[in-house]
Amino acid sequence: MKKLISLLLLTAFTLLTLSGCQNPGSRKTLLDPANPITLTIWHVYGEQADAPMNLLIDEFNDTVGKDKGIQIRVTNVTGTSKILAQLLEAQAGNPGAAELPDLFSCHTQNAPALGAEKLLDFGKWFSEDELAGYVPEFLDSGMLDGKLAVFPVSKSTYALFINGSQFDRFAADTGVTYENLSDWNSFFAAAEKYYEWSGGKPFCAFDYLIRHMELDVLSKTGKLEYTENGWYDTEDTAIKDSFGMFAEALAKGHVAVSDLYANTQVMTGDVLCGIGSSAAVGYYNDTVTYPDNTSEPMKLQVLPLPRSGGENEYMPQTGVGISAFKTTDQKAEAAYEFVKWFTESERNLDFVVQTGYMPVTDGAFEAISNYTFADDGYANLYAAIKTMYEDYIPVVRPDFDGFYDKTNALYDGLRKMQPSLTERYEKGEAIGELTEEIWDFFCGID
Amino acid sequence: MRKLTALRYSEWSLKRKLFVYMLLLAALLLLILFIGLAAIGRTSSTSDTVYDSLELQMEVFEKDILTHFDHLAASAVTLSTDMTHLIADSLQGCDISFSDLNDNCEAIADLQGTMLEPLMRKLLQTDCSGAFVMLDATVNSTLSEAAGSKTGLYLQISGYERNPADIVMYRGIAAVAKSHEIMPHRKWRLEFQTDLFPDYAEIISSISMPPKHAYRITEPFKLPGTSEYVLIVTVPMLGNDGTFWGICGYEVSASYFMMHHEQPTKLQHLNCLLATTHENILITAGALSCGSRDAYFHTLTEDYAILKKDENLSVFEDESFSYLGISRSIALSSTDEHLLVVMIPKTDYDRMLSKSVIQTVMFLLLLLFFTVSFCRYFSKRFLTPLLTALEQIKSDKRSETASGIPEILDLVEYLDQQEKVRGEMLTELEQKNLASENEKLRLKAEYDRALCDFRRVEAEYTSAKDELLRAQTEMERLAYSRKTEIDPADYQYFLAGLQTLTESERNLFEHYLAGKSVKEILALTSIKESTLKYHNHNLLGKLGVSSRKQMLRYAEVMRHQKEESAK
Repeated sequence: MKKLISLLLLTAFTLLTLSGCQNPGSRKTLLDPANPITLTIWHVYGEQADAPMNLLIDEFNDTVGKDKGIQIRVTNVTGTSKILAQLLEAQAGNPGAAELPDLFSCHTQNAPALGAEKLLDFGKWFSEDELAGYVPEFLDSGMLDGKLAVFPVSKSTYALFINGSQFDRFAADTGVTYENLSDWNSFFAAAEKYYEWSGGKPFCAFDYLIRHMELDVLSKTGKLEYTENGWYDTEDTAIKDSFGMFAEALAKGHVAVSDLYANTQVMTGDVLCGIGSSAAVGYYNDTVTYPDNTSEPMKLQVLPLPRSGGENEYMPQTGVGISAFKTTDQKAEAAYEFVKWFTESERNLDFVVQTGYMPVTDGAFEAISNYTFADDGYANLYAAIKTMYEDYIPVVRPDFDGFYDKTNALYDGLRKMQPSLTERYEKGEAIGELTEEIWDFFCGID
Repeated sequence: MRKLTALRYSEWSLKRKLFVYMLLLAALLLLILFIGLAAIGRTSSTSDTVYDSLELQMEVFEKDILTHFDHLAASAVTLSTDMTHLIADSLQGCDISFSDLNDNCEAIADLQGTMLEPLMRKLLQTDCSGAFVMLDATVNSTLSEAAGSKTGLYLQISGYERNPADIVMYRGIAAVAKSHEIMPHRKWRLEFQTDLFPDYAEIISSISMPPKHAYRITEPFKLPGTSEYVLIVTVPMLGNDGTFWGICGYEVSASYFMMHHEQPTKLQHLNCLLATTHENILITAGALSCGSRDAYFHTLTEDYAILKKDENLSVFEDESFSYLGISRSIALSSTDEHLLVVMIPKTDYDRMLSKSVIQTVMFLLLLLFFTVSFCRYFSKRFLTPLLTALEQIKSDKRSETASGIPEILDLVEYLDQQEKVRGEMLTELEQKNLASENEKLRLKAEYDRALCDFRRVEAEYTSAKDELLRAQTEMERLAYSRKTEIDPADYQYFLAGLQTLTESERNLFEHYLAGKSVKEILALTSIKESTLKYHNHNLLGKLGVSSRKQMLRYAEVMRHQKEESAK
């Protein structure tokens, strides 16, 4: 009996002594629910406390994160255009810069600036079976130097967003229908009619005008040539012809380059529609307010991008993924667990339909058609996305060094040029000269 | 009675005494430990510990909130003063009165253009997420809802960074914003709706007060068109003539509150709320919350019933989740009342409680383990050798005792010496006793012999006396009868026969003369009775008498004759 008691006491003592110790051999994982690891994240999916991304992070922390010993903490929410700059500031340790996060939203083309060697290769953590469920093109877009450095969690494309209330009046007066917006030729014809109908307002604002020129050239010729400087080959007549189509509408004032995001011009009634990222759906106001303070419901309509009429139709594939700085294996495992959980088909669909993105798994894409949307605008968007997903070929944006500085310079220039060009056109200058002037400016960007 | 006997300390074995002493020692150590821990405040219960932590956290949080909103109120008063001057100057420059702003889009745009940059600066300089100036004017007074529509500027910082590029316009003229490279908010509207403010009527009612006393802090409310809850500080703006020009102030959004009031704490999942209550229900809709700087906390989505757990802690629970915490009423201005709540998930508390219980149990087990171990050790190293040595001392193997205990060895040596001395004394005593016994036996034998002799002498004396009496009697009788009975011939024959007696017969004759009985003669002569009879027959035959009586009579006559002849 004495021996049994001694044995029990010894066991209790041993357990007590070892209670705070890990037993590395007893589990494969590096995570420890008793000592959860915290990963900080910077993301781009809405700054509100109850933004879908933040709520999902809460859910993760309360479920899988709690069970596995992972806590995700949001330390910054910013726009896609700012996140790289802030990351570089943090990486450089500049005064006032925030602490570098563990996870962050990242464009693949921005990743090299952060140092590909400093980023976690998710491909080493995901098995082939796990990766097989993701859309291959989306995975390919996250590859950097042979590493899956930017893991796709959501993807966006472009769509045509329309102020439905005003379009109804415009359509009633002019006979223009939504079908007239299905290809560029009839689109610009409708734009011209709107310009006249509205008394000189642009029909549409483009967030990324030059991308539509790219897609149009691709559709008509099947190729797109770039110069060594990372700009479009202006010797290519197809490029010039396609650019001319957009430039002419710009010069006439029928369309406009957006003031950064087209949604702001749609909700102020400055334009009838806008073409921009599908993720902009969350930024479209439910009301259009005109300068005289009259307002009306937006009745947001969303259509696929106008077709070019070539052999194939192309759609942009954009959107950030999630990257992680390479630190410890434990953090790498935690990042893998979070990203895997976040992109599980059902959850991925729930997330993207609230934010206007495309899901990244085949299963989620298949489930879109059966999804019940709470908002008509979102239902319209995903109907358009589904059409494009089936009929269009996704194309990743160019990632030449300095390319975006050039496009931004182009857009800034076009915004500045347009009022005078339109004015000159109104005064009778030949449209050919005006478009040539714009073309020259375009060529001068290189 | 048996129990009482068992309690008799004096009868306890060393083992029992040692066990009890060790238990007392353990209890004493435990008592000292607890007294020590109590003295330094380490013996409090989990509930007390959590309460202390939450109370400390509440102090920090309350100070944080009061300081923040005090500064905000001061900034809002300054904003009111500055904006009032700015508007006055702008109106003066345009040579219009404030009331001329109504339906004057151009003047309003100019005024907004004038106010925008200063308001941006105020926004960036102040600990807030938004700043606004709402004017008591509208761009279109013909609209049906014009009475509640007010022009003005409402700027917000959209991200977590505080820089001009992150400023958006929530209310105002979009063109004015874009001219300053500010984008409209995704839920932008041209003008304010007065019902944006949950207590607009009260705000208006306070305009007669000086700005520094007229500031108000609203309850948290959902900013129209968004899902974001905000709390705003408002201060009225009055023209020089006391005309109401509008209100201005600052906004604190839930997101900003969460980031700005991150709490330095070791309490994981700490949730600090600035909320309101209604009939013991914690209203979480619109509650501004913040939590631990290094961990996450839950975003509350349901209202929670407030229950009292004990005198210190409250339970905040809904159907699926509960928190444990403390609350405190707080007035951020003279007109509002909010509730500060600092709480942690009850699951965390339960975990702490379990951990505390397990630690206590393990500690006590450890203490017990060490007590028992030490008891066993002490017993093995101290008591067992002692008892073994005592056993050996008790047994006849004392000389083999090798306990290693000097005291025992000394004792053994002492006992050996004592035993040796006692042995010697015992031997001596035994010898003396033996000699005494022998002497006693000897003396007793002598006594017995003397007694025997005495008794024999006495018997002989008695016998002799009796014989003497009998002889005297016989002598007298014989003397008498001799005269009459004795035949002289027979007598002569008798005398002659005496000469023929054998030695044995002679001895027998003498014994008869001495008065011995047959038994005495048999005893003295150690002869058989048959031999005696044989000798008797021969004796009587040789003496010529027919009986011993006759023989003794002749013998008496013979003795008498001898005595007379001797005379």
